[in-house]
Amino acid sequence: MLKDWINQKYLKNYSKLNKEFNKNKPFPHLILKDFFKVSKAKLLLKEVKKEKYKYKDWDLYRLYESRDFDFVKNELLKEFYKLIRSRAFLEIIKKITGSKVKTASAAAAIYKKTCYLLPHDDRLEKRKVAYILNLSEFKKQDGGQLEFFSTKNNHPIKITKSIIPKFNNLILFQVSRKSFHQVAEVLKNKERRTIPGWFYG
Amino acid sequence: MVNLAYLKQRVIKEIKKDFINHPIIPNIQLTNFLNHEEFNKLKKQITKLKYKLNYQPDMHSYYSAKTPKQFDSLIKSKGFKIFIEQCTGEKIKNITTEAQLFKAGNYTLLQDKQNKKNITIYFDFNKLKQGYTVFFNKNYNNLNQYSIPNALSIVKQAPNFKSFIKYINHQEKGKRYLIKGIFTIK
Repeated sequence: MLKDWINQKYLKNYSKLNKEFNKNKPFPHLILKDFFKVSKAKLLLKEVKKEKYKYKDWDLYRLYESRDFDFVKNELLKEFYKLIRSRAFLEIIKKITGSKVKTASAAAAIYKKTCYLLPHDDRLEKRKVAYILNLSEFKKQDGGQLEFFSTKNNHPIKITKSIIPKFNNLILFQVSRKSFHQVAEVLKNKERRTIPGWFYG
Repeated sequence: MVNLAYLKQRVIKEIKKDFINHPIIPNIQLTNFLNHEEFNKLKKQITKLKYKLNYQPDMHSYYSAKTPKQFDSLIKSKGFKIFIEQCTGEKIKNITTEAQLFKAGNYTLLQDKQNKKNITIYFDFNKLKQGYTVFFNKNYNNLNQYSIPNALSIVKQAPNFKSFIKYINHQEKGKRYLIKGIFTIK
């Protein structure tokens, strides 16, 4: 199943990826470009568009979210969900991040114009590693960047890394007291589509 | 300085009734609070203050300045304190005040830390579609309160009642100027 989905180059060299993951600032993270096979990524995008989304608007966010993939009926999304929770895939995540992860969650999200997600660290339940699979191609002027903060005394101070959403990039980062991040407001009439979730210990 | 209508006892009685009986959170918004001339004078002052950015990303992003002297004296006066006590039915003591400015990109966030009981007042200077204050109770029933020029909002904050100022997105070209005051409850 892994070989059907994942780009060949990510089925090896974990030691190198792990080193890079740990050395990245302001907290351990990695951007895996073209993570899935293009055909699979395109299919994922096609299928997430068929899902129903709920509008969510509170202090921290404005975005649209699908139901948890635990409840999807779409066959392709079910297959994706099965993949990320498979022993083999979790083993890859463990090798890249160094975290012993036992399961995963997923849902689809859309950030439309003026949508955003304000600074937070993701610490909840037994989340060990956060992931975001980008399914949109954005430019800097579109907004919607995933932004990481430096911290002092476990409080975010300023943005030190800004990641423009690129199609089929998988971003992994360690969830900790330092993992403050946000999604910058989308400025243009474009949809920032992702599958975000977590790997749990 | 204050609209004389608000100094009438029968009006204060009505205010108190509405404040206490609000279905979501004890609050009231008193429009045309200051007389016209005083409001316009204060409005000019508020836009000329030296604002400093208060940015703690996981808590808030806004600009603050010292409250203009005359208004500060008003809300720290014995008369105003009595007015607030009569409107809310609460005995209050110390007050802290601050002039605040919210524009595109600014917000406040909810905190896990429980609110101590207090009476918060907001005095607004302009009308904005965004940057409204969201109040909610323990059942998450919420009330969105939009800024109205020359309106004094009085709100009771407590562990079960929380509020935040909604993020202002890039489409908003205006700014929300306000003076915020917090009275601690005895």
